[in-house]
Amino acid sequence: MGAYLLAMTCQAGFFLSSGVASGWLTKALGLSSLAGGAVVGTGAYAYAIAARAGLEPSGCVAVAALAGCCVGAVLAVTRGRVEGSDFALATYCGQMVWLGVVANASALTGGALGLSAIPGIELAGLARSGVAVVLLGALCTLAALVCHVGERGWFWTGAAVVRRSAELADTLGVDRLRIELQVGAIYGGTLALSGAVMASYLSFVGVSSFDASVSIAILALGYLGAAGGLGGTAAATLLVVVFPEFVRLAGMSSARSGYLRLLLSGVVVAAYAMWRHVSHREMAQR
Amino acid sequence: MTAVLVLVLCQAAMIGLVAIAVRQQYALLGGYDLTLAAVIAVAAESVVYATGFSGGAWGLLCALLIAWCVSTVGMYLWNIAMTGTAVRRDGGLVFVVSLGVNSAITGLIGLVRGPGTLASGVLVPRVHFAELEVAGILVIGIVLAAIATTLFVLWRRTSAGVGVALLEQDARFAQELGVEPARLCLPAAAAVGGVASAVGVYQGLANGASPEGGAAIAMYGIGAAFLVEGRGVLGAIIGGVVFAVILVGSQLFVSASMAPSILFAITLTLVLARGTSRMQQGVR
Repeated sequence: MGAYLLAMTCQAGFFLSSGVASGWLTKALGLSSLAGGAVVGTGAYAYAIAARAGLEPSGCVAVAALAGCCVGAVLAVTRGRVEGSDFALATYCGQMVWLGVVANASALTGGALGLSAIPGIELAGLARSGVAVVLLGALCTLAALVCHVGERGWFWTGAAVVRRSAELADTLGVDRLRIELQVGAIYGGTLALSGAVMASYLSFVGVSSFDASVSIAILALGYLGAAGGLGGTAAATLLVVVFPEFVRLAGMSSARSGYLRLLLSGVVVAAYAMWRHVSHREMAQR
Repeated sequence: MTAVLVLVLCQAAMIGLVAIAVRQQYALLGGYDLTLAAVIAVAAESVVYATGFSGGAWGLLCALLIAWCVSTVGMYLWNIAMTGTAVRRDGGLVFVVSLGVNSAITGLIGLVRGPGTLASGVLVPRVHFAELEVAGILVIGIVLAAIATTLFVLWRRTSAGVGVALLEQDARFAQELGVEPARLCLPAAAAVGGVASAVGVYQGLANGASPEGGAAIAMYGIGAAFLVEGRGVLGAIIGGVVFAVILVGSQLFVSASMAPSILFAITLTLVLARGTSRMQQGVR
């Protein structure tokens, strides 16, 4: 029971940190990314490949963060070409392409079987689960802090201008590309780090762990995070991640529990998108 | 070689049908509608359960009718919800909302009947035609697609169909002429439901039913609808043929597991190449 609760805490921490970052992307640039699973997976695979190649854990984490920052920055810059639902559509396609490429690049990623026996991060003699809980807690705090600080001052004003209109940003001399790169790097870096910590904890990465349902869950958490801050993300994590896991204690299979998570994520995504639409309309009417 | 051609023809018909449905929903709601994936999955589930009771021609006909009714009711409720809440034509929210609804329905199906693929109880024999011998299910697929396309084209000649065609070409002008999207919800749902249920029935018979079964073909349909823009039903079918050739070609010459990714990469390229941001559209 204790081990199960610890595993669930790790999973909740993983989704919470990812949700905070996803909410940051939605709030800062108004983007709905459906490539969350791919970004988390990039971090996890980068960590796993580097660790199996013999790199020190700190180096592996740095590699994962760098890979995530690059992917996140590319995603955010894509906003210059596609916006709104087309951005969501493009990132969904990107997620599916990523899954296919990772599943077929067997030499590097282990293909459908994934990579196992990944060396873990060591911290003050703690067990793997303890290290994961500490690191994910630190990551959540750090991500929330960065987002909180980021939502103050010139940066947030600049992001609001960019979110409103790229031409307005150009007219006002706001460096649009820099803001998009920064927001994307924070988003990608946080997701990739949470993926790396999970890879270290589980000592295994497989392509099925980062499918489209993970992206939809991360988007749902991000949506509630954008609406209600850290509290919103935490509440959404309890609803979308922890509740389906608890139902397993009542005898539900893990596959059905996954479907329950997908069902709740879908309801949150649809409800938030409708609510945002209605609130924006009311704001415009005022 | 001939068997491959028949397979391409069948896949083209299915992707083309979905592309037709995608365009129709785009005309009505102003966005790419992923609830089609849920409709296809539900139709596939219906056919698997219905043919479980009776596997003959009557069972198949009943399955088709049940799938069509379920699809029509589902699409009608969805169209009413979207046109009623004015999400339609505003900020392109249709894709995100429909993605949420599709995920919820997929989750619900998986929760109720469990994971995995359920095969239909129908065993379709191989068909001999002149000197050809092809899988009977492909013939059923092509015939279903031909009937669905013909009925859809005939429906486009009715007043409701012309209304949707006008919305597709110029929504503002159509509304000036008195075409109200809310009034078209039921006939459009029946037409799209028919097309999507034909795809779902084929999917259920050929590949079995799984909760996630409709998502891939719905996305291929969106890609095919992107490929040739502004040519109505014909453009959708051309897009379907191109996607089917690439899909079957990738499965034969690259890798079966890589083929979907190639189609998704093409769709991604099309989305990025088209560009929808204000900067790209040059709106000043």
